[in-house]
Amino acid sequence: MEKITVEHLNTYFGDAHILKDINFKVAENTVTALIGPSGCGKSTFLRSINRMNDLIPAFKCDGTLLLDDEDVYAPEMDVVDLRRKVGMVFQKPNPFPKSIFENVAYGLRIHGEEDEDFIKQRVEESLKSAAIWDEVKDKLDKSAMGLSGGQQQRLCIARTIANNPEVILMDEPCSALDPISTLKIEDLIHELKKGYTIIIVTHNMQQASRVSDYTSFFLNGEIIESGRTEQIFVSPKEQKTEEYITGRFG
Amino acid sequence: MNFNFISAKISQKIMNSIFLLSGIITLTILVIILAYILIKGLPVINLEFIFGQVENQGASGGIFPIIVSSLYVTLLSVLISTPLGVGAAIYMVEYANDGKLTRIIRFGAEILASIPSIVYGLFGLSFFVIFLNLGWSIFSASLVLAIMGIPTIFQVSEVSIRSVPSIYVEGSYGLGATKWQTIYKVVLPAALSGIVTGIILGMTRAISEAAAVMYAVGSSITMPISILDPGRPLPLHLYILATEGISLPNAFGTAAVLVIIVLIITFLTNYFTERYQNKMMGK
Amino acid sequence: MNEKSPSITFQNRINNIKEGYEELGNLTIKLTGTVVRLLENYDETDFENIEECSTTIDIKTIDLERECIKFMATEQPLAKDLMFIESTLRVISHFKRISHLCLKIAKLIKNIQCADIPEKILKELECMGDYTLIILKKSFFVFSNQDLDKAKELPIDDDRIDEMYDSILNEVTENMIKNNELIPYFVDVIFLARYFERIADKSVSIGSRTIFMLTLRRPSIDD
Repeated sequence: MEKITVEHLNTYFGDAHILKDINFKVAENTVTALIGPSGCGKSTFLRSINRMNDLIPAFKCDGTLLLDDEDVYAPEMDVVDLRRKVGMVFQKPNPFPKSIFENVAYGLRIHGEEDEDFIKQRVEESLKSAAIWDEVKDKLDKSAMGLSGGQQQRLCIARTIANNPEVILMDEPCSALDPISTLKIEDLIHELKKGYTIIIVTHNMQQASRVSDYTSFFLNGEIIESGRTEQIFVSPKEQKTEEYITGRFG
Repeated sequence: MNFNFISAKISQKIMNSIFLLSGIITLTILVIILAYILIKGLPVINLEFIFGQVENQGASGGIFPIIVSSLYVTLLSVLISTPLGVGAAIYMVEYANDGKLTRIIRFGAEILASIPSIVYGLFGLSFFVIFLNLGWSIFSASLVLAIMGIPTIFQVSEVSIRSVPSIYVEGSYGLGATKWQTIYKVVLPAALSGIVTGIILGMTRAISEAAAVMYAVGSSITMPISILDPGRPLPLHLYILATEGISLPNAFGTAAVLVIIVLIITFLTNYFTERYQNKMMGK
Repeated sequence: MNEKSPSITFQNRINNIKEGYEELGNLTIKLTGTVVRLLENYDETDFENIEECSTTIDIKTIDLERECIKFMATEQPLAKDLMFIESTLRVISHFKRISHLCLKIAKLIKNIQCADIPEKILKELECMGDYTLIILKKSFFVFSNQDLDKAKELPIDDDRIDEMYDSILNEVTENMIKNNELIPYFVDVIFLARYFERIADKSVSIGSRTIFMLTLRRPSIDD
């Protein structure tokens, strides 16, 4: 039932101790929101799950991070396969300067898929799941850069879905979007929950309370409180959580 | 410094005019040079001049073998220098950590770019022509020009690859792409227009070089067929026509052809990269 | 990060709502006090004041409700702020009901002036009125001080009111049998006592709302 289990995770950038003794569990097909002030380590934590932090040379970590029962940081872990299983959507919509079709097909192609019919079908399915098919079906060969910010972000979600992942990590996916696009993405998250496990970092309290089932509050590299979202937002147990979500925290 | 004696509004106006003036002067110089060469050269140019064989050491006849040598040398040198320059740029951005080695490589490229071309020519003569025994040939000249072109292509490509937004790279890694897939499928296409600019700069430098090739290419006025045949590119022909007083009008004709070729290369590549860029960026 | 200050508008708005609550509470207490005095000593100007005051409370309640809604729309409060605003909305509507009950009581008092109600019943009514006023005051402070312990005492205080109501009811029933022609006035007296009892009930509701706000648990007594 537990999709991700984290025990005593510590991470470092050079000498800086970023995440301190993180313990964290995510159930399958749920949405978990990570909240906390800037620099509290929530993005670092998110990027630890699909090992995006490996791109930073000074990154080190210890502790265990299990996806299902596999240790993500085990030496025999195939990072390429891990990132296929744990997709990521970034803060700024980042479609490649390619056609809409090629953007979604990218993941399939890099993983060696050559059957064009299959790719075509998968691209269509992914665009439909990301609720953007109707808007782009007539211009699949046009560049993705011509889409609006909200469409670009949904395209990026489609691109991630095309890889058929098990977990989707979202790093402030709406921070660059207008309110309407934001709501569309949030609706999409609700839909995607049925098939995927989602972890979302957000600075928007209302967004966290709207989209997530569980919420974890990070502060200075530690998890202060985790729990069901209603409980965190209506009657938090910890004083620090209360201060942060009510805005009494500077 | 204190410019209080002039009001801000007036000083702004003065500076505006100064900048406008420098712009106009630059443009004027370009127009004058182009016009001068074209006015002097164009009357000489006709089909016979372009497609004819060289006669009387260039005093009469055409310059067809010269044009062919020029294109031959230039294309060959670009073929050699592009993979090396772009490859080095990729290494610098994607593989090397910022450290001593990258600083040395960058410094080396700057030195290489600032060596006078006649020195390259001398090196080409002693190393390629004599030591490697390649003889006076298109190939020797291309190698010399390639070495000259590498720093330009390298420097421009590095800047252009470095300016590819890191969010593209992250997005690609995030989908499980390997480093090479990311470079090949995302970084290079996104940096393409910059890289092409570097190649054009290298190419225009190669096509307009006389000093570097004069010791390496020989001075044959016959049509070069194989890469080991000697040749005589346009700038060298121009140099010989002018310095040996063979035919000043033909020298201007050759110059005009050279300028037109350079202009065509620049316009065409600009047009195509812009079109590609616009298509990719969805404009 | 040491700085613990929400935005100034947030703090101002929530303070305004607290002040609005206190103003409404004080008005309601004053109104109930006037009603109790009216029972002891009928006075036409007091009666008019009561009518006027009840209308003022109506208007101020609506204003404060609007203020709360605006606060929720613009600041989107969470956790204790959210609970506070939601509870304030409930509590002030109790105040409004209490002011309506006060007006009804005042009208009944005016009715029975011409009748000769036995002194004993009147004394018991006055006693009940005084006690109701005490419970109301207590509930007001329970909410504004968020006093969980005192809030738990309120239902016990209310039991005393219920006893008084029962005793008045018995007394009146006996008198009704003795004195047939005064029956319409005795009915008024029954309603009068009933309304005081309801004011006390409302006060208990304010207390249990406070408990809910502080603990988020279902109150043991029906709201």
